Amino acid sequence: MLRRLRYPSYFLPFLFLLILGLLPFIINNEYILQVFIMFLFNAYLASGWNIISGFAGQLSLGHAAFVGIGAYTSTILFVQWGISPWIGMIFGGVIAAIFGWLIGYPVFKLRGPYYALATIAYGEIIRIFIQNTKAVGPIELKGAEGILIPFKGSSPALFQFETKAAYYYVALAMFLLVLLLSYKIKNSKMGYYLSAIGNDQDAAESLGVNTSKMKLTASAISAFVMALGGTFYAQFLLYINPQGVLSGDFSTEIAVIGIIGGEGTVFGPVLGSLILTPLSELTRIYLGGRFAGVHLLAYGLILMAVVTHIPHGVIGTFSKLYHRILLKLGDPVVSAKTGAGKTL
Amino acid sequence: MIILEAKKLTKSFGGLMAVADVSVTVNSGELVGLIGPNGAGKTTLFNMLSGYYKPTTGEVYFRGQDITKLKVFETSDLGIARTFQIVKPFGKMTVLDNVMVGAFAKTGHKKEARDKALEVLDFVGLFNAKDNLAESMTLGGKKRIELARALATEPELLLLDEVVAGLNPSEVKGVIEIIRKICKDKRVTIVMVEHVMQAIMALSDRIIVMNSGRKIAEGTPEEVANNPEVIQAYLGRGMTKSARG
Amino acid sequence: MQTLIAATLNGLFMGSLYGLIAVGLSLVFGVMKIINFAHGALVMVGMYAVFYMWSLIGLDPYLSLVVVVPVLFLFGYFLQGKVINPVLKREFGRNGHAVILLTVGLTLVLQNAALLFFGAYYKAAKTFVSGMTWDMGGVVTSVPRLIAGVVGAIVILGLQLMLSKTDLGKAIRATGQDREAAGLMGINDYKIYNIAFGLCLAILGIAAALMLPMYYVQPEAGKIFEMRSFVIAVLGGIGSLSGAFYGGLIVGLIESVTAQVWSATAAEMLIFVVFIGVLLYKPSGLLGK
Repeated sequence: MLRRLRYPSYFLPFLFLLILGLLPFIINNEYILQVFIMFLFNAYLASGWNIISGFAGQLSLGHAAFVGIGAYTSTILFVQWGISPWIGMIFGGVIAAIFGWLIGYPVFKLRGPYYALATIAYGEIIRIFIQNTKAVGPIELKGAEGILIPFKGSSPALFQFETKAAYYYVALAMFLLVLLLSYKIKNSKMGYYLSAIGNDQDAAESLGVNTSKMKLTASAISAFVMALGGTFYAQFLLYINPQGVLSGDFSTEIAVIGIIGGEGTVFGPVLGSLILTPLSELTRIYLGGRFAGVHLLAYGLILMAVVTHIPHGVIGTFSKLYHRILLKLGDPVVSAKTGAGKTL
Repeated sequence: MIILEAKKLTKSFGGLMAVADVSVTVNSGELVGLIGPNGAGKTTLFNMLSGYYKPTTGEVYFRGQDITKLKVFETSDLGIARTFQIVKPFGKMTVLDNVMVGAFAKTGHKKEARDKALEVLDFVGLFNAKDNLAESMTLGGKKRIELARALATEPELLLLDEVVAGLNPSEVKGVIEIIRKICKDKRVTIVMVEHVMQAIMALSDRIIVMNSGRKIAEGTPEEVANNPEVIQAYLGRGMTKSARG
Repeated sequence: MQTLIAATLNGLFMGSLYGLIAVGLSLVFGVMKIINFAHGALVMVGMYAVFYMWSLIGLDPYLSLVVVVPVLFLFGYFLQGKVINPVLKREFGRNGHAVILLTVGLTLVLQNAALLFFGAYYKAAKTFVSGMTWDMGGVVTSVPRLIAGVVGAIVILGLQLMLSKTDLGKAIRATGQDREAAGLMGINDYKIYNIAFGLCLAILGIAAALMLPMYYVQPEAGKIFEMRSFVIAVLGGIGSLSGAFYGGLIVGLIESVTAQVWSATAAEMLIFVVFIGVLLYKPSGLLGK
């Protein structure tokens, strides 16, 4: 393994990882570090979305609902009962997975646009419910006002840190884990089956694929991943409200990042986040409150341009470029199988 | 040994009888052709045999087991595979990946699925195209992908829906050869619906002829070709001339 | 009891308006088999158009139709022709994701452009019927709502007649049923798409004019109507116009009556439960096969 690091196709990713790992030591600017945290976080969410919408081709436009379920579950457990968000995170994941299954159940037997419609409807209904509900029994949702999370100082056991760098490493770990998960799924029987479903369900069924069950499983896994992201979001911002974590715009943003990068590939969502996160963060600083919505306007224009001109997302162009760089560097592994323009 | 048995199948669509009271028996190792003029109900019958349509009345048995109410993927698990008249390749996947989806029916390991898929691709003559995207293949290539994918599931019964329709004469010859090998060398039982008479006459051990939703004749290719009722059904168009492509 | 009658009546009027908006969605789906996720944003565009006709020129919302409807028709016609058709052509025979995404992008653009140019403020037009009520022996309803309900129903009826009686209407229906066969009959399918999308926008223009005396305009004003349209379209069977009308009435009734006897949140929940119920047990719609 170590000897292989001589090859560009091994050391380039390694170098990339190394830079990501050392970033907080290189960058002293808190703000720029925050942009990187958002990059990792957005890439994480888009990758989670990608499991059902990219791999299995079932377009969801309501994934913020799962992020919200995760955020609310761990936050309420923490604020009301003092349960560590690390534990609450798992609870949130499980509840979201159940919801993911429930959303899929009525619609996965149907063909056509029903899943996209249902995800929007579910997303909205969860937002409307929380926005208008102060409490359910002993559970205080606090409606539109949202929930503030008390900061208890540096306490890693409670998912609270003094420095941005610490949050950065949590985000990095989650990012790497979701990439590993995506890679494992993509290269397994399940990954092949999901791809088949995304391409043609009738043909998939004829080859023995239980399409409903596969889609339900993917939907549940995807929801679980999103919910963990929700806990991170809550602990990072220390405040959650339905207009933020459950909004339709947030759902759309997640999907747009995945699509622009290249749905159905492992690294597409990462690329999408790499392009769109700086865009949204920069417009937010420089245009900020004066011109609300500018970054979404840009997202919209880019999305329309990508759909019209590069239907498979940026990943295709990028992987060709990356391939050419590897060849230039004289990589023997890539040279051995020239011409194979496989996507990452 | 009887591998597939359909008993008194009837299918009506909103009062319109597409298939009426048709029984079919297929023996293990046999190649059975299913023909008839347009609108004869052969596609409907075929779709009932493969589990895509549920019959209005009647049952289908596969190796003695009632499969009438099973879902399509369940019949696949039992050992029935099919191809589609209008090809349905997984367009954005490579040819190899297409066939690997089929191969995963019998294994959970990627390496084994890949080996199986490569073997089948070699068998249907697509080995060199394995890294191409399926959507970039010609119609003939796509038909072979369908065959390869179905074969990779290691079926006992293979249902072919107009697998040579739309191909040019030399492609037709190639596919006929593959089908013959599947049946004779791999010992897979085959039921094929076909418009191209050249293919059906060359391959079938037995032919079933349908007209107006009913079975009107059954027998060897010669018997069927000389059956007056069959000739009447095709109304003097001449059976060979009705062949397309 | 009287409040309940009033709630029922108001629900029917609102339902007719909801139905009108959903008819636009269903028409586009019926002809092109795509769900337009920019439907709500286009409702908003219509509302701003009507609003500015009133605030800049002083044209009454109902009168502004004379200008707004043809303008929106042309906007829809060219939007379909220049933006959506190229993607539709490329994606022919695929699952239609690309077109959905295109309309999602369009929503982001329209909504945030509105935010940028018009601001997030709630704008309202004052008209001669604003705030007027009609009292029928203790059963009170607002006049703008009454007008919206009646005109909505008339427009839907007119559209139905136009689709079944005129040559253009027949061509539109033929394209929706089987575009290849329609093509063989000499119908230019992409032109029909342009017209259908233009018609959808014209309908939204009428709806916008009916809404303005009752609703504030702001960049997200169309959202709730889009959600309603999705539910109504599924309820009535996606693509069916009469289904959309009846679906609209059902949703309007549920909303109004539940809000009266319980709460607005409960009404939202109930509409949603009905939506899921239909998906589970009758995905072809309540009136479907």
